[in-house]
Amino acid sequence: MAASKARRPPWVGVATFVVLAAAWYSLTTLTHTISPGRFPAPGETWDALRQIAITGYADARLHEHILHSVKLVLFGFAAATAVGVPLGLAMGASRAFEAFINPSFLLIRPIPPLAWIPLAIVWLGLGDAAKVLIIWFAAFVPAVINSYSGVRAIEPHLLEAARTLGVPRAMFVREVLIPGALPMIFTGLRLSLQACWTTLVAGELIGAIAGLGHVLYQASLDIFPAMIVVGMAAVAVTGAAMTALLGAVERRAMPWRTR
Amino acid sequence: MKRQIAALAAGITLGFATTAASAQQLTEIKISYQPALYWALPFYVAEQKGWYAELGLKPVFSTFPAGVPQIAASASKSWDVGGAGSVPATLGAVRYNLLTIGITNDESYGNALLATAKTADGFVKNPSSIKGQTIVLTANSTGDYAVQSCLAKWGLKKSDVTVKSMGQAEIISAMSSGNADLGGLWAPNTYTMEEKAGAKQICSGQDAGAAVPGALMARADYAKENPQNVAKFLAVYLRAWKWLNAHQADGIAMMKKFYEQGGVTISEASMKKEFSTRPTYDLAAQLKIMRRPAGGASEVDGWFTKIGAFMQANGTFPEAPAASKFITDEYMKMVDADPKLKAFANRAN
Repeated sequence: MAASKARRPPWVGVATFVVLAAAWYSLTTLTHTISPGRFPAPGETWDALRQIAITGYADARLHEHILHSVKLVLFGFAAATAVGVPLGLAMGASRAFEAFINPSFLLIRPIPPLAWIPLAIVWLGLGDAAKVLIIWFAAFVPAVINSYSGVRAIEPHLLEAARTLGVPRAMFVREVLIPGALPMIFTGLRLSLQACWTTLVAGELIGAIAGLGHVLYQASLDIFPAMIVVGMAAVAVTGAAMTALLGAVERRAMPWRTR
Repeated sequence: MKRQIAALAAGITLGFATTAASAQQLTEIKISYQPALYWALPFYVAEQKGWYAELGLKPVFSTFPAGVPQIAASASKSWDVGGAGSVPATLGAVRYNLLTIGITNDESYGNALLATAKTADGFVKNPSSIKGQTIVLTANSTGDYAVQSCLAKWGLKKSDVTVKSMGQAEIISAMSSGNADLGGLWAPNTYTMEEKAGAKQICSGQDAGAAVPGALMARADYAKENPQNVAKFLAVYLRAWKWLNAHQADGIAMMKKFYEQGGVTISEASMKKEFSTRPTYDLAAQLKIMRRPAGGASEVDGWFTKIGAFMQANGTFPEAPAASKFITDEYMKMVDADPKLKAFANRAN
């Protein structure tokens, strides 16, 4: 029991990357088991990284693409959280409200975010607003569902106790509802953030002038596997960094939770 | 009666045997192209006329929505020969060792910058007003090349405008819905925009002095192992153009069917414009433009060198490919050297 709870040393994760990198180098450069046309070698990928970082690719440099994508993700994520979390909380707390909203939500929920692209362009044009709207659709659903589930997961005796003690509505929401639902809310936010990044890449396929999705799109038009790998790695690293940041916010918001 | 039946049976048997023997002589060749494009029409015409079979070839066609997936598919050997724009052909040369073995047509006029009806006259009168505008185009394509050539003609740089990349269908949608005033398109999408949305062509590759050829391609490994098939493929293509240019009315009828198969409907006037604005090359002309003087470059080399430089400037590759490395007139010369193939290629019927 104690052994399973012990944290694994960080070098275990690093070792995984080292092993993978060694395998990549071996298969592409040493043994040529994988040809360059199928997957780029580390050297080619490094050259592509230098190109986009220093000279630029797809009309901007790497840091400009990353900043542009982060901006869109943050806008979409913030808008989805601002709407989705209160909506989920309200649906969880009030049966009447849930009955009113749920049918519409169930209709919207299965529609893939990417299906909104043509309408988003018609409504908002080819600028970033349309992309933010697509990202919003992707992030909104997990935020609502997990906030709703968070409320429903609150221990019934806590709700009963608050009702018995005559806790005012505002205090009930602040001291019971939100803290009780927070773990599930943050789970939903992590899913929303992930959905933002996967949708961003597709959203930037049309009419983008910068961004990691734009890089991936341009690299696919150029059949440039090394640049595609650089783009994917940039998405992975940036997405992981934002998730880690969200984790830090979560730990600060719920200091009573122990790992 | 019995003799008549026996004679009929013998005739049928002989017919099947002949057909089987003929079928056995046909060699399969995989040909790729993009549908509803002017330079792909000869593939359709030749197949309808049975000209591949006359040279012992059995074509297996594969179509692609754009040049990039077509080029990418060559890596898995899903096609042997085909046609594409010069930009994807150059990309194919660098990435997958594709050879350019001939020119489909001069599509300089057919790659152009269009403006919406309400803005076109203003841009034509004052091209410098394009500065600061947004242009929607398909990045790293012949359309992109034509647009950048037009900008250069007007003393503008790519950085003077905002370029948004998207597919041709999305460009048509964006311009038709008022989300974009300027778009880089290629025919027949240019005609679709003119006819259905009232857009106007304000500059083409031709206007900008930029030659935009189309390319006939072959996989290098296939061409090395099957040079005769490649030569026959060229001979059929050349004959089809000969026929189309000599029988334009019939050609337009076939063009209508071919374009409709690809989901494109344009007026007969636009179809005639395709013929009148896009020169094609017979065998002698192909050899002339591909001929390299001693130690020098051919006319085709010059065209593709400029296209390579454009792609390099876009960051597609660090160094533009040397035209002499992937453009070859070897297979055109094979057609010319073989009296049967030469006569076949020069037939207009």
